[in-house]
Amino acid sequence: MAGGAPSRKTDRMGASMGQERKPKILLVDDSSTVLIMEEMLLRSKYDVVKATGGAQALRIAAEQKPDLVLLDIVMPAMDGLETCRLLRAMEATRSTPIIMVTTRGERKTMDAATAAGANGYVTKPIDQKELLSKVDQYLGAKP
Amino acid sequence: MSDSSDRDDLGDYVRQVHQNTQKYLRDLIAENERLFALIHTLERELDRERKDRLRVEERIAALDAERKAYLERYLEVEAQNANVSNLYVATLRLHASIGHADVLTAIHEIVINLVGSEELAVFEMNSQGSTLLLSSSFGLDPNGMQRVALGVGIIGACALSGRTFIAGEKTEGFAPIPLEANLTVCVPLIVEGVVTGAVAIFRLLEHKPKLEPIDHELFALLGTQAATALYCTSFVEHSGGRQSLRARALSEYPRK
Repeated sequence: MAGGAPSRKTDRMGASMGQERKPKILLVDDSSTVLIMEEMLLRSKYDVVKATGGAQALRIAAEQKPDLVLLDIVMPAMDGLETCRLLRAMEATRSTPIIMVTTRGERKTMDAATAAGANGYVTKPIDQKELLSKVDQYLGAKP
Repeated sequence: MSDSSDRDDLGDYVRQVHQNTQKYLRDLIAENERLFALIHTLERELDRERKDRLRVEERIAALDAERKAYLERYLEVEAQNANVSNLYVATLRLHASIGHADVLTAIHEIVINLVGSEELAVFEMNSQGSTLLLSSSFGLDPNGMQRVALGVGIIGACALSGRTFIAGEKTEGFAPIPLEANLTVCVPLIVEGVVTGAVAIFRLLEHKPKLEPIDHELFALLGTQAATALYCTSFVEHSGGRQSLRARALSEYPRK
């Protein structure tokens, strides 16, 4: 895995109107099935925003400045690797942890993801425990 | 000094030494008894401590066993939750639309993302109930599998018998044709006891070495829920499509 240590902490978000803001996660996948599953898994601890493609993801990322991005690799039009490169080029997401979610578990794909700027990856079918643990790790939340 | 006087002095000295020795012995015996009593007390205390320690060790062992049992139960519940959420998502997706293409997409997504295979084909029975027709496929060359006669190969046998084929598990009575060399699973789609199609899943993803218990649940769910969802889409098609359905719904249920 590339990218090093978790970079954002829950307590870093500060308080707003007396309530601690939940970290925001941008889910990017062209499959509604995956988006529903990820949202179900994460929404109790995190705020979740969703995009069904790379271009939409870039737009939402610029507007909402997520604390972490879960990014599918295989997507039509703009794939996850290209999206990842463009997210890294944007000021808002230059250092945002990006975890690739993919059906492609081979070394070559993982190396390409790392080269594109991803911090880590999980393979599909998603192991819910693994995904939660990775997200918690990067956002510094207690499991 | 006379000899008799010397003897008297010596006798007194010996008596004195004798008396002192006797006293010393008595003191020694008393001290010994006291020490014996102390040792006895300490042994009793030690014994009690040993028993207490044993009880504590037994309690720790019992608590440890309890902790392990809770941990196992927790992991079990966690796995069940994950399974239930997968099944929930699959059901939600299958019944989220009444469009034929949308339901086929949902089946694809379930197989790709929840089961873990990028090679699949969905067949539906023709109106005569004699042949399976390929409705959609992913990651496969569709040539050669556009039509599958009932009883031919694993997919045909699966549709004829209504039995699920799982490579390495449920294979009795299934004979593959060359096209099915990499077939892992074939699930018959059944509505009210009638086979209406089949979902064929070929190679699993490289990093998924084998099927998990949840996969079997997903196959059971696909067999019924995907079948029902696809079947429902035919009513929509026959009734003039979504627009017609929407128009009828609006006319039959006027706004308040």
